[in-house]
Amino acid sequence: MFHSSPEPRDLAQRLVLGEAGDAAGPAATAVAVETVCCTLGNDLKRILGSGGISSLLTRALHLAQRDEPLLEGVRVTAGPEGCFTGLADALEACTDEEARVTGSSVVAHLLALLVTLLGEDLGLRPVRKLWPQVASSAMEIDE
Amino acid sequence: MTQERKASIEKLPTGVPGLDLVLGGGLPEYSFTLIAGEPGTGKTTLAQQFLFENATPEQTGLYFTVLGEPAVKMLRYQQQFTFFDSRKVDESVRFMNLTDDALERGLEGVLERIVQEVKASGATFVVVDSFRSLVRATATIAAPTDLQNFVERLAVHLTTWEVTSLLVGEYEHADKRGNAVFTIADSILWLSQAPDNNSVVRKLQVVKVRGQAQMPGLHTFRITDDGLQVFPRLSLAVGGQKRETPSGRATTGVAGLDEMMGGGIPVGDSVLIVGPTGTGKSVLATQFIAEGVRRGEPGVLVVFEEHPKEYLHRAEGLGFELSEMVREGKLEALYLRPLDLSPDETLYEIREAVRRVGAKRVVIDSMSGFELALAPTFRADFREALYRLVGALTGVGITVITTMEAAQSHEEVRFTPNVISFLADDLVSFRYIEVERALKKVVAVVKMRGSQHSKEYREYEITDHGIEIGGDLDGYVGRISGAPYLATWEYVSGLPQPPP
Repeated sequence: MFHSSPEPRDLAQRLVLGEAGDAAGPAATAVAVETVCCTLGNDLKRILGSGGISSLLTRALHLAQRDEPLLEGVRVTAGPEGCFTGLADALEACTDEEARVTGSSVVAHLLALLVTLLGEDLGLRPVRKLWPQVASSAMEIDE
Repeated sequence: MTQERKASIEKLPTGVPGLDLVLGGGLPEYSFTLIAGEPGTGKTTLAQQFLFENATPEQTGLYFTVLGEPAVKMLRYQQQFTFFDSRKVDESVRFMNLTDDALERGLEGVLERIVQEVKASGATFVVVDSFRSLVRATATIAAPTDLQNFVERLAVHLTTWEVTSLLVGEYEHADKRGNAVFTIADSILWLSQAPDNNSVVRKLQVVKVRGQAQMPGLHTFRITDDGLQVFPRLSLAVGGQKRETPSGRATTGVAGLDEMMGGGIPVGDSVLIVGPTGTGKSVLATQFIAEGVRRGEPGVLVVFEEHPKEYLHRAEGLGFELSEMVREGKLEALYLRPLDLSPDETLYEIREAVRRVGAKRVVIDSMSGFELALAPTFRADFREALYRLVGALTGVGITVITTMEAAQSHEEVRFTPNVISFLADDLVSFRYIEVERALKKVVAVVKMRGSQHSKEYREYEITDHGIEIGGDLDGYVGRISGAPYLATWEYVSGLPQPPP
């Protein structure tokens, strides 16, 4: 199962780190997680529709909440302002490392869902397209 | 207008084996085709086969999904088919979801979006799936005239932009009447499926295709890992071979039988071998096919009742190395046992095997197995299927032997409920008789069209080397009764028995 394997977690953390850039702290991580999810969602919306993306994000969040109880209060939103509400609040009291692991969990489950439903080739294609450097470095490590 | 000034319409391959033949060469370019049918009939699969067959980085395709099957599911399942080349996704084939446009802005929004995307991408092919869902979703906000207007504008726009488009829609037959989409569409492909006892039969009909002659009628199709495959109602041509009038004799591999048949089977004849179980019909078929290969005439063995491995193994017991012939590509053993075959599918399989090995001889063992392999709905057409099958093969000079199990009767050959002996040029009958309290086997050549043949009953044995024909039961009378007796002096001479 891709869900329980280390690849999506590793890839998710790389994506979140990459989006956070030089910014540090839980708030920056929350923004980075939102950016990754919204960017992926916007790209996939063309194919899957907004309903499809909303379902995927809801499911990914649900799975992440099982692993990370801190995310319990987070909700999926369907507005231009972002994908989630309550994410920054949920990560507020975390250390940088905790915030990165917890926040990335949502992204990891989203990636795993895409791979489960669409296969690795199609499911991770948006990642390769949107973050080519992150994707290629992750693949080099896998190989 | 002269021929040269007419608009030239290129026909595009559909990517569905057999469908281009039914369409009369393929789908006309820039045409507006409706793929209609009930759920689960393969409409989406057909549309995607077309798109993946034709779309290239230079001539791209847009696949619009609207409200029907969720895109995530459609992609998940369609990528399992071998034609789905994921490398083409985004590069040559772009999937786009119009659900939001349909829900927020109705038909006008959908049309605007399609026009905008076609313009931006320069797409050559467009699929809208499912068109019917789109109509249903906008029914509350759109009048029927809006729909007609929408379809007309869409059709005109796509054609003028030199786009070949497919509209996928769930329809029932009753929906055809007075439906603008059906009127406007240049081509309509209707897919259906019907359960029939324990089998399901799928059929495709080209309801219309403008500007070219399609093959009328219902054609069966199957959905496999490779997508749809259509089996056109044949057509008596086998593998592109020309019809020919053959000459000469095909020896059976049984010297005595060849002699009874005036030197063998006339090439291109259809021979029916009838007889009760255990009389050696399959043995003769084996000898015939092996003899052909030995003489440089490749063969196809169509087995319905047992696996070819067992069949070939049994042949080896008689000294015929059929497995070796298969390995050398001189013989193909086809196993057609599924219980939901259509005659055209069977014919297609045999035709392809004939083409692959360049067969000159075909054995169908047996006719009752063939009938059983067909879906029940086709059994009523069994005679017609046999007629087309045998006609297709013998028409190109292939000699065909068909075996048939029959109860002991010399008066007629029946395959319940139809008489089928008319299908055979030549009829060879095997049977048991009782002679002096022993069971013996006899063979007779009952008929040969346009050829002299033996009128005798000849005894035969099935030996370790196959069938060996013996004498003609000289001196016995009443052979047709199945219990002949030695003729008496009175019977032969008509005079009283002389005293000893």
